[in-house]
Amino acid sequence: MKFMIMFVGSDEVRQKRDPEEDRKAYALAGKWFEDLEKAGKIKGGHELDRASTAKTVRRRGGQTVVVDGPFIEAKESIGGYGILDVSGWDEALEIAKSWPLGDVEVRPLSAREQAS
Amino acid sequence: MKYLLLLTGNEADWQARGEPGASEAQARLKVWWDEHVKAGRVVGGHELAATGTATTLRRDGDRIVIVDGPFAETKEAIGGYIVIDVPDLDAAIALARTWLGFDARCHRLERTEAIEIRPIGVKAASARTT
Repeated sequence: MKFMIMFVGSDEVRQKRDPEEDRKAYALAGKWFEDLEKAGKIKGGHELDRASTAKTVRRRGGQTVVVDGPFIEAKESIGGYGILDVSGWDEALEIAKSWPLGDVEVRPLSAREQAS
Repeated sequence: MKYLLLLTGNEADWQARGEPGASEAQARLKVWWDEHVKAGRVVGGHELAATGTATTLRRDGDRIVIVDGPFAETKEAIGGYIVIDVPDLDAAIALARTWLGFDARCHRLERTEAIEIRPIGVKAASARTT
């Protein structure tokens, strides 16, 4: 069963980290990804740039408009993601618990994606 | 340069639509997808299950608290994502517009309302691809 694991982050927390903390956090996250990739449990993923760098393209009637910022203005946003390919919810949650850095959302891919 | 496109819209509308795979919209989506994959602009992506299926794990001191639902309860929800590889932000915006343009020809219920474009972190982009 395939899941998306979304790493919940905030620009504020990222900006507060000093370079040494930042280095440690990257090392932990890198090791977590590497181990799970080797085990075949993670198939791809990325870290995103800060939410403040986002642009949103929105439908307005028959046109599209481009606005600065993420699609919702919130304290938290997605800071990165990974795609899990595991036996089911139990394993997905175990892996989610082992993420070393912060809060996460775990959501199955759609039925169509599970089948492909 | 790699960007993540977050496809967002009104989930109640998505849930009202019919069986996946059967609609004309799906056929159009496949044409869009195949064209941009072939051109090297689309690197990967997935459709997600509804936010009602999500579980969120939050840190509370040394404990982890597990709660049902997405990390943010919002009217617009993330329904899927696409990873693209294009020269710059202008090209990313142009590509996102074509997705919304493609969508506009489809049934109202199939529509993506907004696409958030986020640069993918430089460190991660060099280390991993989907």
